Amino acid sequence: MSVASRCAPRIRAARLIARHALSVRHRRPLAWSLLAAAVFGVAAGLRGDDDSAQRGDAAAPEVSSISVATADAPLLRDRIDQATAGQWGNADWPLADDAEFVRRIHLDLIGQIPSVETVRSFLADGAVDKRARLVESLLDDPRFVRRLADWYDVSVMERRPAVNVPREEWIGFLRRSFEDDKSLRRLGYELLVADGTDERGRAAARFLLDRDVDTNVLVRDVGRLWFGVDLQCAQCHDHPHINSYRQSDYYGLYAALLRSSLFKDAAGKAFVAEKADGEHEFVSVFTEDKGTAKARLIDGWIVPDGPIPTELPYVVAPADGVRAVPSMSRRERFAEALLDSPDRSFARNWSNRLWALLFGRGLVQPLDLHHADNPASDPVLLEALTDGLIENDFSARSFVREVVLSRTYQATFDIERAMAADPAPQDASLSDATAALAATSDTDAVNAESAAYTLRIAASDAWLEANATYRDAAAPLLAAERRLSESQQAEAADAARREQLTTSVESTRGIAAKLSEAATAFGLDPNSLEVPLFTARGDAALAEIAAIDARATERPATIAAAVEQIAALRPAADAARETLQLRRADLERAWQSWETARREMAERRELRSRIESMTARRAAIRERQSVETELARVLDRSADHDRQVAEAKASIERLTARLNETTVEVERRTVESTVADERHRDLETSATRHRQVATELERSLVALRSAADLWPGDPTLASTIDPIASRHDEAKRLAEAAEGDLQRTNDERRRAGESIGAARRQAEEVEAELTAAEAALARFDGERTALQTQVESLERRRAEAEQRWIEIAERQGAIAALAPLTPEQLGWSVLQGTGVLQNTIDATRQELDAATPATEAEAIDPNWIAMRERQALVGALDKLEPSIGIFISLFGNGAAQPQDGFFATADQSLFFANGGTIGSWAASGGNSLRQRAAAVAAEPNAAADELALTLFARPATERERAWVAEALNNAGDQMPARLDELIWAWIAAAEFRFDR
Amino acid sequence: MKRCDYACGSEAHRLERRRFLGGLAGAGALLGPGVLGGLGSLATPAAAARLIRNERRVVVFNMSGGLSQLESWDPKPGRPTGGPFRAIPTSVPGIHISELLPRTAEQMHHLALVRSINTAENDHGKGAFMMLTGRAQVPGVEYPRLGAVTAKALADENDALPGHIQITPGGGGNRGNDSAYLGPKYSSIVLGNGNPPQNSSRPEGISAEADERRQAHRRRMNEEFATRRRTAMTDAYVASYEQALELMRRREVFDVSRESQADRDRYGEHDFGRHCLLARRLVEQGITFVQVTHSNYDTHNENFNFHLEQLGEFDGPFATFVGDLADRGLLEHTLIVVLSEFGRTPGINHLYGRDHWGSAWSICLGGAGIARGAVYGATNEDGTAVADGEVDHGDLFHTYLQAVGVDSTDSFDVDGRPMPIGDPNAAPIEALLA
Repeated sequence: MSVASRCAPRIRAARLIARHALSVRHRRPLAWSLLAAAVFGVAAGLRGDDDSAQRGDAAAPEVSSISVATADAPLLRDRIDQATAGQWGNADWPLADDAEFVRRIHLDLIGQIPSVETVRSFLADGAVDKRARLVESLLDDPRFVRRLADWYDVSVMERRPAVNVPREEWIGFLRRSFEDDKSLRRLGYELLVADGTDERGRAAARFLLDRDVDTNVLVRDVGRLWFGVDLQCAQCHDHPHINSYRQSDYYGLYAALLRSSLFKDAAGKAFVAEKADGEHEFVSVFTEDKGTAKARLIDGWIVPDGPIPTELPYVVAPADGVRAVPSMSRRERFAEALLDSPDRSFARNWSNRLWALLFGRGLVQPLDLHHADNPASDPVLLEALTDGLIENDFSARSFVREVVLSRTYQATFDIERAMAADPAPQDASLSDATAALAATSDTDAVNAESAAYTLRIAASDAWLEANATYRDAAAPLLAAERRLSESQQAEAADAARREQLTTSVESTRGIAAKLSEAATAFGLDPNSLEVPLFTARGDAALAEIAAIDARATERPATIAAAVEQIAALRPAADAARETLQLRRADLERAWQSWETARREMAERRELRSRIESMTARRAAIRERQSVETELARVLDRSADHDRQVAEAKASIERLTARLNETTVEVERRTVESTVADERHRDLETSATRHRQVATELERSLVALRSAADLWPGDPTLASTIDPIASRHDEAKRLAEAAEGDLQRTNDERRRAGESIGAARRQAEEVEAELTAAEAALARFDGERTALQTQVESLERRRAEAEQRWIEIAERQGAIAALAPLTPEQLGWSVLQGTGVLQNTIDATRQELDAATPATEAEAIDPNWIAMRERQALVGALDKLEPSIGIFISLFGNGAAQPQDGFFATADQSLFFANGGTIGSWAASGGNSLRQRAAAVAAEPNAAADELALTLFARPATERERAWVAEALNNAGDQMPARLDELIWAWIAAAEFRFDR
Repeated sequence: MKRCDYACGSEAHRLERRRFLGGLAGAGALLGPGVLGGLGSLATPAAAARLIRNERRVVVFNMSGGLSQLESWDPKPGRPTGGPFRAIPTSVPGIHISELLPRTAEQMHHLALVRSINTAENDHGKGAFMMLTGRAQVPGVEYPRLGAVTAKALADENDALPGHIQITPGGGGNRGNDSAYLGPKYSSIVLGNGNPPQNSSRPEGISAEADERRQAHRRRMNEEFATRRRTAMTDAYVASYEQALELMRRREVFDVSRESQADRDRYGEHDFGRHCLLARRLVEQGITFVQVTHSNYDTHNENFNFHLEQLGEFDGPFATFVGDLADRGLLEHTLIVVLSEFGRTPGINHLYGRDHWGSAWSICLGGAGIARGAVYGATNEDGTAVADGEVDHGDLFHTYLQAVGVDSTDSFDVDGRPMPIGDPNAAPIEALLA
């Protein structure tokens, strides 16, 4: 499939990507992106395609040209601190305390937490140089080499399964490499050139073999792992959203690797084969630019082919079942360029990766995304580290030592302390930086870089041209030399063969003669038995001798011709080589000037970003301070409010009580009035009745009296009138009395009514007061809620400011970031923390002592004792190593995926909680944490300290002591179980999971 | 530092702070190693009510080894390539499938067929990769499997239960390596022979009270540590323990024995029947993606006997599964796909077998946004080539995702690098999308 057709489907993706990239970029402050575009866009625009101007090939340069440190160059650790101090604005930032340091340095150098004895003795040690001494002893610990080997393995193999080289061989190779302090550059070279044929060095071929020597895979991974650039998208076009990634970078690596392939012999064993031909023609899907790819390193250093003997492209020509070996290996030339070119991208990449090993993240992050739009958080620091790595000949050990002895590495984890020490609020450092930036101009820097770049290209062209000349001159010379050496080899081989044949002729003749004699003696045909066979063999040998002799007569002429030819060709080739070396030196000088110019540009950019981040840090600090002030004020106000609310509540309570009283009074009086009303109604009823009786009786009396007048003297009438009259009088009297009563009750009623009114009025007054008090309370409550909201938003602002500050300070190395433990660190730390490691070391020492007991002299020889201790440690590490597998499978990312991300999944915590591993390790006997804590369980503070010193390398806090006391008090025979719970919980806690 | 006593204690306030921290972490993702997944778990409580019925789900039946299209979805009776089996009518007039699938035929009105697949790939590994990732295998690039993509796009990331489950005939209960750049959060949890996930029950030696005590210790330590430094990573780590506890509380989700005896009888007590019933249970409990593997269809010899036997086992439980989902109203939201790494050759070899065949074969799918009773594409008379509507793995992958409402032309943002969800060179089969 052609590149173009494979790429066509990607265009749409690229557009999506570009759209996304645009939205990402828009988040940057506009001014900065404009400026960045001005500075770097111009340079890129002037440039065009890097190697379009370069042609031809050159011989492998022999001498390393990477700049070497001058004698008075400051130590790398000081340069690191200088860079950090520049960012921070002050050289005096707070350092980690001993407890922080001892845990951090153990995790970083030997990949596990310290033993509790180490913690105790380190904390107790009063010597000023104790940190440096601890660093030296850890660099000498066998676990340091293992940590580096694991780191390198995970970095370059990304947890791929071992297929073509057993893992033990591979990891053994890496451990030996780091034990010998092999340069990382040498190691990178070896991994690229190893073809698997060297049995002892076969492990180095794993990098290529376990990627099936697939060109695309290798280009991607060499780009990512050797140079820190992920060129995936540049496969088909210039990287759609990363300006500095160009198709020529991708195909530069592609051209270096495309001739190599996987070869399997008849037994299925894998090797690397390489062809002598194969070029890559590429077409960009965007620009339709075409070209033949030249092998090159990422920064544009071209790796031209070396001379190939005329018409002899192969040492072993390709054929079925044969591993092809070319006369000139392009892959090897590419790898050699790593060793001797002035390219810095390899060194920069590994500086960043080593930094990430110690800090949990790179200055460039993701580690494989070095590019202009993703600059290092501190470019000057990264360049200083790169210088340091180069000057220390790519020694991981020296680099690590320097970094961990810097103040930057030893920065504190404590935010409060660091924030308090932040000098950012002072303007001095900021204005220094601004002045420094103003002292020169961007245009000058850009112009200088462009000019240096143009010179570099010209020098490169000249060099490539010289290389082409040299190639032309050297090719026939090499062929003549090859012919001469072949003739000489053939001559030697013929001579040896001739000697062998001569012996053979004599012996076969002798045997034939003896057989013939025997046959004659037995009366047989002298030509019977095996006589003819031996005669024929002798004849054949004679014939071969004749052929050899014939060749020998022609050979001196051939050899002489070759010698003559060589003599004729050599001067031109030598001259061409000399010119080539001169051009090469020119190129290296031009390259260095360009690097310097580029660095100046980078430094300007760094200065700008330093100003930006100092401004941001200062803003964060000020914001936090003003929030603190505001918060204090609001909290004061809220205290006033609390008082007012309390008062309002008290008065409401009082008023409510009074309201109750008055209401009761109103009710009582109402009841009284009702009673009076009823009595009045009764009296009215009875008065009315009496009046009616009196009226009726009066009417009767009038009628009776009229009747008596009409019928005077009737005794009955006369006797009737009197009683009725007295009845009438009585009724009248009763009615009048009732009237009097009514008058009285009316007064009573009036009075009762008046008293109710008074009581009601009083109640209303109290109620009004209460309503007012309630309204006040509601108001206070409302205000308090508003204050609460205000407090919350202030706290949020404070947290945001802190978070902004933390992010910047972490990036600048002024405070220690929190880094998750790698799966290996986590597993080993659990083994160390629970005491399983120490128990295993003890057991291994006993085995060793039993197998080879110490002599009397040895038993008191400190060197011997130290050696035995080391043997026991290494033995224990080997025994326990398989236990780490489960941590890798749960806490590591999938095979062939980047391994520096963090993820927390339920299956990890299910393993911790229920998997049995942690529990059974924690429940170990011997000198385990559980046993030690149990021994002091009666004294909970001591038990708490034992736990905290062992697991967190610090004494327990007061609260932790209280929790431990609470858990262990009255535990009785449950004490060991309670301890198990505590140990599990503290191991499962976030503080254990992270390096700080 | 003075703290306001009434502003800090409330759950809502804590939640706000978490949201805020989560947001910061997102914004800062390019600055440091990010947290892969798991962050959103902080924004809302794990116990948040979930609208299970409306959630979209996917169930894949992976006919491992390569199901013969001629003995299943695209029979050619009476043709030289057709083999001995007949074609039978289905519940959709006009659609005939192999007589080896009589129960499935009755469910055809819920399903659809694609009979025009050309993946041009005859290698088991590569074919499976293509069908489950929708991409050709490019050296050096890993793509997430359909399950990981579905879980990432659809699953509630606060849910303690995994969104991506594989039910395999055997094997352990570990995490699969199938999520590529989406990260381990979306890797499958493998239920080997239908067993629950590893370590999902409390060990016998630890009582519920003891567990509560140690978890309480752990929480106290974490709260204390959070006052010193709190990051998206520490939050995610702390949350993962709560998710684990939640998963343990809901462990019965994985326990097929909790289904009624009647259902167990209907699905059959053999492994595949149990696995199908488990798939139904998982779907009902809101698991986003379930893949059931039925093995093995790699019938280089005795193709017909093996298919008779294998499909005999497959037909009943599968048809019951489809019918149950339809009856329970779940089919509307659940995509079902029956796929293989490839089909089998129309030509019958001298061992009465059929060999690997990627150039003209079929799958069956249905539910969710798939048109019911549809047949897309066709092969020629003898099934030796696609005659109409040729599609490939990339088109199918888009179609699956579109059927459950995922915009497969969008991209995932991975550490600042956009990764297109479906192959930008392929497109969904619009005719199949209802």
